[in-house]
Amino acid sequence: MSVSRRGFLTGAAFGGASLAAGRALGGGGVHHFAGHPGRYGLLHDTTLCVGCRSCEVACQKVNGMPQTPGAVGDKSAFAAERRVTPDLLTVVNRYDGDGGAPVFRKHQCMHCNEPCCASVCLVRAFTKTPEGPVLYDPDVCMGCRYCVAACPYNALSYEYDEPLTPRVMRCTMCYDRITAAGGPKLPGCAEACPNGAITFGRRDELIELARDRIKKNPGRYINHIFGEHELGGTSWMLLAGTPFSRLGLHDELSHTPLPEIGTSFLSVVPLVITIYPGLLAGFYSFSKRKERLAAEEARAALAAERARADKELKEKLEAAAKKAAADKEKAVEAAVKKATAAAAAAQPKATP
Amino acid sequence: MLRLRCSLSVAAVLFGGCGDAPVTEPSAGVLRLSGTGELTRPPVHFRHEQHTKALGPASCKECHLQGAKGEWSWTFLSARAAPDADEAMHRFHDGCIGCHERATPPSGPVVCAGCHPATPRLIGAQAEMRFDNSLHARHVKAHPDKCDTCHHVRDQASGALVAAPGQESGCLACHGPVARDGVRSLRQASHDSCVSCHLQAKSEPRPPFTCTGCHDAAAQAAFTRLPDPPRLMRGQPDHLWVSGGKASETAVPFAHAAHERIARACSDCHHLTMDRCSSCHTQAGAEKGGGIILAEAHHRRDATASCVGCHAQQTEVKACSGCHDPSAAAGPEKTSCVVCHRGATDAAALTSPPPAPSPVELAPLATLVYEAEIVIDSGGGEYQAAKLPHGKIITALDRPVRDSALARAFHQQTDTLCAGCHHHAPVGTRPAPCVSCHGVAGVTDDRPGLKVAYHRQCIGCHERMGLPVGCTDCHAAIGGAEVRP
Amino acid sequence: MSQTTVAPRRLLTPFNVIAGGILLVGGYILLVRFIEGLAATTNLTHNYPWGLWIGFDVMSGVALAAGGFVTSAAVYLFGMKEYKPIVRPALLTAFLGYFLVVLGLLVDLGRPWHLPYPFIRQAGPTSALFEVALCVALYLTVLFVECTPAAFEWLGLARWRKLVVQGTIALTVFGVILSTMHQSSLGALFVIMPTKVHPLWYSEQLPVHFFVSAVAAGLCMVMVEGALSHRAFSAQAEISHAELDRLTLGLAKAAAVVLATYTAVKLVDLSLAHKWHHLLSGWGAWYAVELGGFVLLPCLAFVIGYREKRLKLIRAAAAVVVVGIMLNRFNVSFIAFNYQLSERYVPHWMEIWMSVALVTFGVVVFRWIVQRMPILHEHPDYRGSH
Repeated sequence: MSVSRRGFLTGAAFGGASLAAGRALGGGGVHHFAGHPGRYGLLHDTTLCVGCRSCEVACQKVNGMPQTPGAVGDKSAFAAERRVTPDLLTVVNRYDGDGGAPVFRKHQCMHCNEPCCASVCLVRAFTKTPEGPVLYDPDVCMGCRYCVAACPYNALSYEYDEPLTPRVMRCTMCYDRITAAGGPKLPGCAEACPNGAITFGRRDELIELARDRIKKNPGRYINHIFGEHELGGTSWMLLAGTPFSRLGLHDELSHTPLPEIGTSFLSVVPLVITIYPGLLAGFYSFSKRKERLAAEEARAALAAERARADKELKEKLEAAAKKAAADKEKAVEAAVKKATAAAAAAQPKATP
Repeated sequence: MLRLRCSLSVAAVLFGGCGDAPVTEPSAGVLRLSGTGELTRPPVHFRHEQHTKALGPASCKECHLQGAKGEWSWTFLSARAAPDADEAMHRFHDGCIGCHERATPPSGPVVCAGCHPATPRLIGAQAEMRFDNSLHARHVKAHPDKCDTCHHVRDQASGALVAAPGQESGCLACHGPVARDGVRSLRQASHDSCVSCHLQAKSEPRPPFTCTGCHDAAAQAAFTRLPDPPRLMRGQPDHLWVSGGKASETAVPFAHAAHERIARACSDCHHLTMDRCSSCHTQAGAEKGGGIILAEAHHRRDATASCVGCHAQQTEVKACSGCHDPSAAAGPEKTSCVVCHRGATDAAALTSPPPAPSPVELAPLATLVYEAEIVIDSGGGEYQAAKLPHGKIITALDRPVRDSALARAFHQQTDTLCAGCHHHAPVGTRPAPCVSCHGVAGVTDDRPGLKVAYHRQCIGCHERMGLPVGCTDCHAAIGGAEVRP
Repeated sequence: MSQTTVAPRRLLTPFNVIAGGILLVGGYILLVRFIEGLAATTNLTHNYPWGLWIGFDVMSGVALAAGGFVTSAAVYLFGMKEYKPIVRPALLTAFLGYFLVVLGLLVDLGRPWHLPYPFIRQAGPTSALFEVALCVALYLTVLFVECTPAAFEWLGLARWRKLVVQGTIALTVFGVILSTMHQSSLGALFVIMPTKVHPLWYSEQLPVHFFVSAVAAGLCMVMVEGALSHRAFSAQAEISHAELDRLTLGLAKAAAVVLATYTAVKLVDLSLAHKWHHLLSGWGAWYAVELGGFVLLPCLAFVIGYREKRLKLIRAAAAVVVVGIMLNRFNVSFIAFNYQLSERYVPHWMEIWMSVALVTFGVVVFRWIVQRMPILHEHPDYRGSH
């Protein structure tokens, strides 16, 4: 199954190298797992379904649920399209076929080959068994209902009225019956169907059988087995004489399993984990460097300013000193001059 | 100039356009006119019927050419002789628009989208017009000994169309779906012949001569039908051997005369020529036979002109479909081979016509021994056991067989119909109980279990025959009311 | 400062009465939820297993809490020191936001005590939800640690504070990694549902859409929350109105760029997946309302507001983006979900009330902390330190 094949998150995150090595050795990149051989399936032939709803009642019976009274043969339930609920794990709906003739389609969990519910469950409450059925373990279930939201066939329901122990409810493909000791017992619905519209068997044999029916009754069937390839294939498959789009299904569903698309994000996780720290550290050191440079620049500017101021002061001091010296000289000179003049004036008097 | 008109008159389309109310239903009176090659505008859905009505039957020549001898050419005006598609288009445009403008008061669209709307509101729905034996007989009766009015052959030397008494054939023998080598298409030839003749009737045009007169399903249904038209004698034998020509084969004595009474027209089987099947469908498969070998021509299940195909079609009615599932790909039962392939006693016997077959008579139902009611109880479930009205069912299934010579011929025996449910049980033996095969289901051979086998047998038949399939139509609810009557 | 402005011990303030009332009814709803189940409290159906409690409490809550990692990355990693005053409130908002997400989940989950099961019992690593859970759990721890310095300052545990502050850069880097991963993996939740989410909202690139829009939402939430708390706790706030306005202008510029990027991402997706024709349908009109009214319009408002310094316009635009991000998450998780079904989901009043009660609870706790710890201002003892 895809879920177990896909890399564990931590493995994907931290073991990129070993992953690459594994590919080179085992060719994992091109390997295709076609599913467990000999697994079981069921074929619902809508051209044989008469809408008696025996399967609904039988399903309730084998699952130990209260049975809808008077359901078998009651056509009033077909007024509106119904969906599966916790009390009714399978429903038959009426659709308009060619010329308005009623066509009945039974709906329930399709037991996908690559189930979305198993892929999206964060506690792995769903297991695709080698026998075919997808099983659910309520003991680990968290009740997040991601599986209910993700199911492309709207085939899961949830016990909203259970306050503490709600379960996700769905067809189990009667796992206990089909794996019973002493050979498989038919699933409840297949056993009850009066007109043989439900055939239980090995999935690959059912595909052969369906092809054979189409070949033998070309006027009766659309040449298409719904569920053979849809979204990777399902255990429940359908035959119809009316396009499936008119039976509440998609006619042109991709063959790619949805989990393949849904888990594509996983490839980005290791990238984020490995690239981000370096990238962010880079940004950090850039901003740090910017800060440091700014600080250095400021320091340099300060030093330059200080030098300029020092120089100016020195010049000023020197000028002042020069001026003082000159003033002093001038004063000395004046004093000398004065003294000389005084002396000269006094001398003739002394020598007549 | 035309283009100018187109671009100038957009407003006219929006506000004027077609004067008449849009036709919402498909009509046989609408022709789809389109040129060859790549189209720049959607094809015209032309209301021929409306034009005929508006202009009157005497004014065919408004659009069509009439020769010197009064013969009509139903191709539009001189478009037939147009050297190329462009010229033909111009002639159509000039013809249509010119007339619309000349009319007093001017009527009809004169701008592009008036005739070439993106989404046609009109759809042509011509039903194929089959000139069946009844129509043929009525024409023969009205115009005795005038076969050459319609039937002709082409004189190889002169190329002229001449009468060839005794060699009359169907139109399709020469006139194919498209004109070729100077031979008109079936469409041209039949309109030239039929419509011209109906218009040239002595006093006044004799209907039908409009589109809907012949090509409307309701009009066709209203044609007077002769209950038993006389055979069209062309030297065919009443009985003949159908075989590959080898003595070792088990030849089929074919009652040609009897089949003529059933067929609507010779072309039901002789889909092109009136020759023997083997003249085109050789045993090795020839090109003129479309590569279909003789055996296939007789046995193809999906063909309408083959023996098996036509016989199978006869079972596609509710009365027969219970046993004869039309969706099944399976061919006729192996036991049916000998119904046709009765064979000649020896090679010499092939040289003389086979004896007339003696009609099969079935022994009365009373000669069969069967239970009138069978209680089917597969145990458990929501309902009581079903009481199968075995006798009533046999009587109901027996009636249509008894009424049809074809059914009698293939059923051969009164208890053949038992195989409808008791499949695998040889006719004439007492069927083994269902449980002997259907005890448990088998997946690989798609064999249903007992309960399913019962339900499928009853419900499948009821569905195909349009009978009730509800649970309580057969079962009474446990502790509940009776089965619905 | 905080020591001097302790609120008077009066219990019956209008705020307390209203908040108490909301929380009281919220408690009643909680009781109903755990006695009668989700059926009695929500309008969830089998077709709509995710409603308001996921679309609002989780999806919108996480997106709006993106302000924490955006501002801390801007300040600590990209060196935009001027935004430092808004880091602490943003981180506290983020922490409380994530805390409320977990509280909301506990109400919404069927078996809430199984919440740690993916880590202690059985891990489902292929699930996008597993990545969300793992990242949210780790990020909540990171946010808690990032918020502790304020508490240590308040409690006077200087050594402890120093220890945490030394690890700021590592914590911030870790926070950015975790945020990138879980913001985008919330979008990845829906990548597996191409048949259910309307093509206009579905994309295999949803993780990118969610991440980019979360960055915008985070920025806008910081603006809105800054304005509101500055008004409500003006006594606590250290930075002036003028300074807050200056920071808001810078945030508006960033938000405009991110919103423009988001628009480009969305439109490229429309082109690559050939989805333009869907715009002509009713869903297209709704999509145009979301992208035009709640992304392009506020983007334009940010540009005009930045150029003309119109703070009111900017704050109004930020509020519109906050509403827009909720609308987008609602669209993806339940409005444009199941677009092919006729059945629609409208939240039960109890769902709405419960969400309001959660927000109220967050506001009460925020208020309690802000009035005591140095969130909106610097502790006098540690002024100017890292």
